[in-house]
Amino acid sequence: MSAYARLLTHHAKALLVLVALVTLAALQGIVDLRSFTLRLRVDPSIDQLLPQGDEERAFYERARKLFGSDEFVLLVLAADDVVTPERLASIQRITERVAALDGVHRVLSIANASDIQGRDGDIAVGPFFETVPSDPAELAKLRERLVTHPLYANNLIAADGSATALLAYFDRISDREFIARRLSAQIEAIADAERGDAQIFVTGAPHVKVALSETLLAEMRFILPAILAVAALLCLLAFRTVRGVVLPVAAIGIAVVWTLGLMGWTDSSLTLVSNIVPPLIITLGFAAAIHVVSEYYEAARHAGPVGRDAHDGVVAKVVEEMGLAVAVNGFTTMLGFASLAASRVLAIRDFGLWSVVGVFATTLVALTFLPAALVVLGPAQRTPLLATGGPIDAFAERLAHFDVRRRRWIFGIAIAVLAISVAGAVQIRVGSDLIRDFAIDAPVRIDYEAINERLGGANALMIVIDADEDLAFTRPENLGALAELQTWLEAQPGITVTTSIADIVMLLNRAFHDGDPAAFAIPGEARTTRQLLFFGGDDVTRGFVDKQLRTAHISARSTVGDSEPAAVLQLRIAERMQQLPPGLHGRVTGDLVLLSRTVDEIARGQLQSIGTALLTIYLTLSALLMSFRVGLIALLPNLLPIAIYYGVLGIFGVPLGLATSLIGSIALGIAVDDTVHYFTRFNLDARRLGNEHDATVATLRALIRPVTFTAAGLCLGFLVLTFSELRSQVQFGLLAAFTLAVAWMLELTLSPALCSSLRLVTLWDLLGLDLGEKPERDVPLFAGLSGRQARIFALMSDFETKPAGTRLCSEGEPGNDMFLVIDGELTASMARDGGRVALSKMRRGDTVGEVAMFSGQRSADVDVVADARVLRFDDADLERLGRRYPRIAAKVNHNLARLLAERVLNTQRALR
Amino acid sequence: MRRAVAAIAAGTAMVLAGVGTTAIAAERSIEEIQSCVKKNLPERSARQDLSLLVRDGSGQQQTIEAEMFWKRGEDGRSRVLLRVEAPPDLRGSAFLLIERAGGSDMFSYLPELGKVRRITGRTVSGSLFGSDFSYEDIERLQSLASQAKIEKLADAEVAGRATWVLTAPIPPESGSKYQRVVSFIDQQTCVALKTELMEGPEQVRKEVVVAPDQVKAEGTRFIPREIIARDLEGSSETRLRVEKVEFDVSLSDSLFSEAALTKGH
Repeated sequence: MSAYARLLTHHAKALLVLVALVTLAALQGIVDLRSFTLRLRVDPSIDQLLPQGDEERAFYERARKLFGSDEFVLLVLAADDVVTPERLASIQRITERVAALDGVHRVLSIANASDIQGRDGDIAVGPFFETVPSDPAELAKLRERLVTHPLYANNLIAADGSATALLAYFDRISDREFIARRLSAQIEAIADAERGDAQIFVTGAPHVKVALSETLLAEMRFILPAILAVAALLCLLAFRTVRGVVLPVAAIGIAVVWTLGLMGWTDSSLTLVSNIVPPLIITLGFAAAIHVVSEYYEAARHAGPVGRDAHDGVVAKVVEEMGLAVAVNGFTTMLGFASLAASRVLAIRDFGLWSVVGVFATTLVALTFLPAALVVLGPAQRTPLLATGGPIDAFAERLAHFDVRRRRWIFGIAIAVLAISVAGAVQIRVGSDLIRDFAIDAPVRIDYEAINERLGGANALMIVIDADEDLAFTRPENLGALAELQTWLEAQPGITVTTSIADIVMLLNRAFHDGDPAAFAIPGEARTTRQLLFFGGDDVTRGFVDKQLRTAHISARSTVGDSEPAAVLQLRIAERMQQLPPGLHGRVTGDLVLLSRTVDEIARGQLQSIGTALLTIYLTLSALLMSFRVGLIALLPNLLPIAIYYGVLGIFGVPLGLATSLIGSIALGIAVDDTVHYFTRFNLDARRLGNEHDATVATLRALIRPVTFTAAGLCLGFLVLTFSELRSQVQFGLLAAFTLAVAWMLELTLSPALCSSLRLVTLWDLLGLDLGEKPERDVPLFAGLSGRQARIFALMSDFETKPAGTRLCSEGEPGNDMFLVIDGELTASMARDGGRVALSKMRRGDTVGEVAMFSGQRSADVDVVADARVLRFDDADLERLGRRYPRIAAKVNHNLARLLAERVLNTQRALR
Repeated sequence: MRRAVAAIAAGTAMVLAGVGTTAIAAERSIEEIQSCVKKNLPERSARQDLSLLVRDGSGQQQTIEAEMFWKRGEDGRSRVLLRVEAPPDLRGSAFLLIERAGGSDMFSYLPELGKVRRITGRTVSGSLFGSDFSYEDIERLQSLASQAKIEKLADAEVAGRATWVLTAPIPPESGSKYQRVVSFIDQQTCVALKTELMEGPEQVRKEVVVAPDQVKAEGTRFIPREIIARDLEGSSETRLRVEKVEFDVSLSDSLFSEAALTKGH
């Protein structure tokens, strides 16, 4: 890290130019800089939310292949009576104009839907009307035919004639193309121009996707600058300097541009889930930037007024001290998000991937752009007012004392809260509703609710019945079972109308019997049905039965849009389908079914992802802190906020949705960030001060500002999302802010309480510790230990440097610790009869003061003859070593006993 | 179904058959090519055994076998009887189309119901026995034989055979989703080896192909024995096989009556 720090300070300008060039290239990925058109796209398709390689999805795809897409734009024209000459003409014109749109595959409305009527030996086949009737009697007849039609009543026209629907199906174009062609808007415009005094409502999956896409893009234009403004404001409050504001904001902006630019260059889109990535990068980038800048000001304050060269040294020191922590933070946060790569849901994997990229960008910018800019800017004119002193320090001190004094209480409460949270989390419900995600007054929601109310529901369910043999759906018993199932379905809350091949067969049968109402029944012979269907032709049957007449489809219109009740309804239907005749097997599918399944999948995946992330973070922390036990302790402040979050969801009945399911991973990443910062700083202070209690005070004093400002930035940043029009974003913002506030509180209470009784040994301490060559060979106390074990022992003790001429201890003074000489030279002597009796000389590997450790009193004066480095340790250290590293402690105690025995033997020999 | 019957009649017996003209010179005018194509058509009547294999985009398929009779009336208009032979549960189902001034009469007979019904209004099914090919498609295919507004494009090669390429625009006022039809007519047999229905300037929506080895000489005519029609968007395929064909056979007028429908076989 020091080599990197030197390199950075020497080539700061070049580095800034490089950052600028990369940023410019990334910007071109977001916006075409020649035409200023947006290159980055929003893809609101639900497809990405569906599990990949999933059997349920494969079934849905098969059903869509057999029976056609269930995706359409549903346009509803509502008035007191839609069967009037003006309105029928209007519907006719809308139908023709929408059908003529490029990209529209077909349109179905009462103006072009086919009817089959039998009368006096003729079968009339054709639309309900060719020319709009004006005669009241004809109109009344037409109304009667429409509102009682077995296929179209409540489907294309409301039973009271107050609303009529137009369904527009599209060519096979992607959601992105659909949005780009503005087909939904074109349909709305046509309807608006032709509607007269009727009301127009529009819904349907493609239309909702367009609305989502537009909302997300529009909100991004507001939310991103708003979060950035919040970050700037907090920086201003924290630092009150121009560079203290501009540099973090610039760093955040660069990280966002890099990430979104890469998205644009790789032709990736922002999805319903990954749209959270930009605000996330801003908040995470803010955390990283504020840590670096506050450390810089802290170092600058210590250094005082300095010249440019010395200032470069200050920046280099910040990089040296903070660099590894920032990198480790970035790494662990990335681990948290990378755990989402295990998800089978493409959108979640995508979110994980782009979050990893975003965190990487924020980390890289914090380690390159920020220090390089500080070097180029030169010494600060003034250090921030809030950097030290005042009530905040006093509060930190009081808090530190409280944390240390009440550490058992804090720990106990934490465990109790963990238990309650886990109990609450068990009751979590999962659910998502894309439409009701919009605000209640959003046009898309108003239209949806109006259509639900006026025309039998805006959602579609596909109930697919497979038979064991071809031509099964010509058999009267099977068609009868379909009809019975339809009757049962229509009695269920949430389902309004159903259509199946049974309806079509009955309609054809009636037509062949001169319109006799008694013939509106399923024929008694399979052959008759077969011939009726052959007559009817593929166009009529296509959406309801396959060519082999082996798989049938009941199309159900539903008012249920929320995935949770949809899942319940699906279960109820599945249960009912157990009663189908032998040889028939039913299954429910459709967009909504898959969405509820996806939400389930995400919820289950969350446990797996969080579990994986926690394990990985635990192993990383254990490796960093050189102890599985300490790793576990360090994990607690990370685990608890997530547990509390899930507990709150369960206890307060907030459903776990697509966006809220991501909070766990985000909170984990951020909490780990804080924990690593705290533990790193605490470790430095503990080594410097040689006392965990003082170190807790010092660490809290140093960190309370950046941690609090970071937390405030994160919380306020996420709270900006509460201005969103989408309910899921509002929930996400609120819950994320709450969880991070909890994490902040725990960082100021639980982490200090846990650390205050710990002597930390970090990986970088271990790597950086100089015990001379082969200490395990030269130092008798280390006999039998490996080099790594010797270092761990050293780090569990206090490492002290003593210049020549200083006294290590004096005869008769109290003392309960002993020393191990690492290098240098010491001499032990006693003052006797006005003179000094030299006792012994101590060099590398010798121990000093072991008698005092057991007796409590120094038995001789020990002076440093040549500059020396010594390890000081006492009973408490040995006990702590025994708890955390029992094998090392056993060896050290054994060696210590052997040394004491040798010492006794030597004394005896001397006495003889 | 009425249009489907008409389409099959027209599509198989009239359009895609060709006159056997040997060693036709490569340089021909549009009228000469049209005339060459027309020479493949029956003059008075035809009887054909057909099988239609329809495979949809999901891979499901269905086979219909039918016997078709076509006769030109004294008024020059067509009469078509189509009687289904297989599958067994559809055997005996029959459709009769009688072309009249200002429209056509269509009758349907379902043996299980034992009833003949006149069908009025527009077609129930625009497709040929469940294929994705509609009456309009076949109508467009026919148009090259008679349409006046035809343009000749540069000759091209199809399946190793030199073809004349004719294209006919489809007027927008017709309400068609197609913009034009392009036909590749074999210079040896005057059979259209490939016909494309274009939705855009370069966008082929459907194509009808005949492999040269499926074109058989029947007397002075060339008859395509198998015609493959593909919907390039829907990924469906229809194979129409002409199992047997007889031209200008003697067919009684009573065959094309409502009464004859019920008699079946």
